[in-house]
Amino acid sequence: MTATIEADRPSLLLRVTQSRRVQSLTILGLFVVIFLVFAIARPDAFLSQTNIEGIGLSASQVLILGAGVTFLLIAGGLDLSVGAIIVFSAVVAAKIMAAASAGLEGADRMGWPLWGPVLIGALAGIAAGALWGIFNGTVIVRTGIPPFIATLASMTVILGLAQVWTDGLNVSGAPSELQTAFGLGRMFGIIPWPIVIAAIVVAVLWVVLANTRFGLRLYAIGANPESARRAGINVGRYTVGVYALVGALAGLVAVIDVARFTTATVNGYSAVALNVITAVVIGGTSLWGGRGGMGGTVVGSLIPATLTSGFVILGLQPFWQNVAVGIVLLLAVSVDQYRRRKLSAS
Amino acid sequence: MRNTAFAVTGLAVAALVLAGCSATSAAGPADGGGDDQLKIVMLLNDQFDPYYLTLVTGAEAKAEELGVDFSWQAPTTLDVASQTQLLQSVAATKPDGIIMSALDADAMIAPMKEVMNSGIPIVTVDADVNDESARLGTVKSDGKVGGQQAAEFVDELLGGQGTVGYVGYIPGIQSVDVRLEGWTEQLEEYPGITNAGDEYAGADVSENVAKTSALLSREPGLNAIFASWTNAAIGAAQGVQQAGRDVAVIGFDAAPDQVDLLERGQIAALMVQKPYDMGGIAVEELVGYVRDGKKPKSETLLDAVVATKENMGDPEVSKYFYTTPDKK
Repeated sequence: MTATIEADRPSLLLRVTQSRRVQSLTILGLFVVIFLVFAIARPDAFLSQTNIEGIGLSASQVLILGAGVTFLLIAGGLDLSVGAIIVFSAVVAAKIMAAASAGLEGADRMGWPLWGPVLIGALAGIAAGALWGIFNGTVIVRTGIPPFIATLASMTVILGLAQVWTDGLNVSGAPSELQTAFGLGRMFGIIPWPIVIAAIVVAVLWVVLANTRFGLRLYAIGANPESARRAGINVGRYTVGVYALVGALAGLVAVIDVARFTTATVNGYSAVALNVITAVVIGGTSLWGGRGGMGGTVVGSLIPATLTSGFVILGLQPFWQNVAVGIVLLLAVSVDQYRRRKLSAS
Repeated sequence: MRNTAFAVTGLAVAALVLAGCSATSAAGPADGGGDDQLKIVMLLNDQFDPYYLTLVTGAEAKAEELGVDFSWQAPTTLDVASQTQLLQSVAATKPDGIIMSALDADAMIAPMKEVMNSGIPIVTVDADVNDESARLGTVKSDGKVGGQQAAEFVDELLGGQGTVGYVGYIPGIQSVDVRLEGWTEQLEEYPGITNAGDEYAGADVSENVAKTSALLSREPGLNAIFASWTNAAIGAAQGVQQAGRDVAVIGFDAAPDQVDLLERGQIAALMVQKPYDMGGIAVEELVGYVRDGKKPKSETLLDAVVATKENMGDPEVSKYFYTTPDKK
C-alpha cells in the first residue's frame, strides 16, 4: 500500500507484482478456470440450481466469517477461537430457543409467542459471540500475548465451557418452524436465506473497509502499529473492536446453523478457524497485516466450496480436494511473500 | 512473587475445572472404595457422546448389580499417544480390569499387551485391536451387520428398484468403515438397486450437508442415502430438505437429535446399536474372569435394532435410544 511513496520510480514489473489487484485478479482467474472445468465436464449436474445453491450455502459460512477475519488480518490480528465461539454461541441460541418454545402447543406456536424467543435466542447467540471477541481483544491488548497463543488458549477455554455446560451433547429442540421458515427458507422464494445474509454482511463490510476512516486506519494499524499509535489512533480500541466483530460474526454463523439443523452441534467446527484463514489468505490478504481486501476474500471463500462440490460431481477421490486447496493456498502465500521481498528490496 | 501468584492461581483454576468435570458426571472418577472390592476402570474415548454415555450407563448398572467398583477416565485429546498415556496411568493404579475402546487397531496393541502382561485383563468395547492376545475379549457392535441391515431396509423400502448413495466419516475409523463394507456388500445382492457411490466428510454437519448436496446434484435419480453416523445423518437430512428432494435418509445410531429427526420424518430409519448391553457384558466378562477364572468368548458381536417412525414408540425399540445425562 505504501509502496507508492518513493524517491525514484520503481520499475513497471515491480509495480505490477506489488499491486494487490493483480493478485486478486490472479485468484479470480483461477476460480473461473476451476469453475469452467467442472461446468464443462458435467454441465447438467454442476450448473444445476441445487448444486450452485449447495456451493453458495457451504461458502456462506466461510464468507461471513471471512469478511470479519479480513478486517482482523489487515489489522495484524489472528483468531483461532472462531470455531469454539460458534459452538458456544450456538449452544446459547439453541438453549434459549428450546427452553422458551418447549411448552408451546397448537395455536401458540406462531406469532410473537414463538418468534419472540427465537429472536431473543438469536440476538443472545450473536451477543455471546461478540463478548468472547471482546474478551479475546482485551486479553491481547492488555497482556501483549501474541494473538496466536492468546486465541489458542481462549479456544480451549470457550470450547471447554460449552462442553461443561452441555455435557458435550448436541443441544436439540430449537423449533422446527425456524428451520422451515429460515433454515430452509428462501428470500422471495428464490435465494436461500443464509446466502442472502452472507451477501449483506460482505457488502456492508466491504464498504466499511474500502471507504471509511475506520477501514483506512485498520490498514495503518496492521502495517505499523507503532506509527499508527503516534498518529493518534487508539490502537487498543480498534483491535478490541475488530475481535468483537469477528466474535459477533461467529455468533451469527452459529445462529444460522441452529436454524438450519435445529440443533447445536458441539463436536465439529474444529477446522473452521483455519479454513477461514485459508480462504482469506488465498484471497490475497496478508497474514502479516496491513494488506488485503474483501474482493479477494469472496473469491477465496468460493474456491474450497467449489472444489468440494466439483470433486464429488466428477466422482474423483475426495482427498484430492485437500491437495488442491493446499496447493492454491501455497501459491497465494508465495505470491504475497514474493511481493514483500521485492518491497523490502526496493 | 508474581510468578508464585500466577502458579497458585493456575493451580486453583485447574482444580476448579477438574472438580467441575467430575461433578458433571454421575460416574466420576473413583473415590477409593474398599480394597477387597473389585475395581474396574473404563477408558472412555468421548465422555460426552450419547453412545459412550449409554455404554457407561450399562457398565455402571451391571457393576452395581455385581457389587464391583466402577469408574471411568477420559483422555483430553483423541489420539493414540494420549490413550496410551492414559492406559499406563490407569494401569499404574492396579485395577482388577480395564474396559477400553482402542483408538487405533494396530498402534494400541503394544501398550495393551504390556498391561495384559502385568496381570491386568483388558476387554475392548466398540473398537477392537488386530491382535487377539492384546486383550481378553471384545464386545462390539457388528457394524458390518448394521450396514447390511441398512441395505436390507432400503431394498424393502424401494421395493427392490432404485438408486442409493452413502455419506459418512472419512475412512480410517474401523467401527464406521465396516458399516460401509456391510452396506456395499449387501447392496450387491440386489440387482435392481444401483449404488451411486460413497462420499466422505469430517465431523462438521455443514461439511456433510455440502457433500450431500453435491451428491444429489450428481445423481438426479437418487432414492435413498445411508448416512453412517450421527452428524452425517443430520447433515444428509438437511441436504435433502434443502434440495427439496424426495430421498430417504437412513441413519446410524440414535442420539437424541437423530431421534427427533426420525419423529419428524426427515430420517426414514435408524440402525440403532446396543451400547447399554455392550457395557454390561464387558463388566460381566471381566468380573467372571477375575472372580472365577472364566475366560470369555474372544469376540461378542451385537446386531442393530432398526427403528422407524412406526415402531419408535415400542419400548422394545425405544429402550435402545441413547442416554443423555439428564435422563440418567
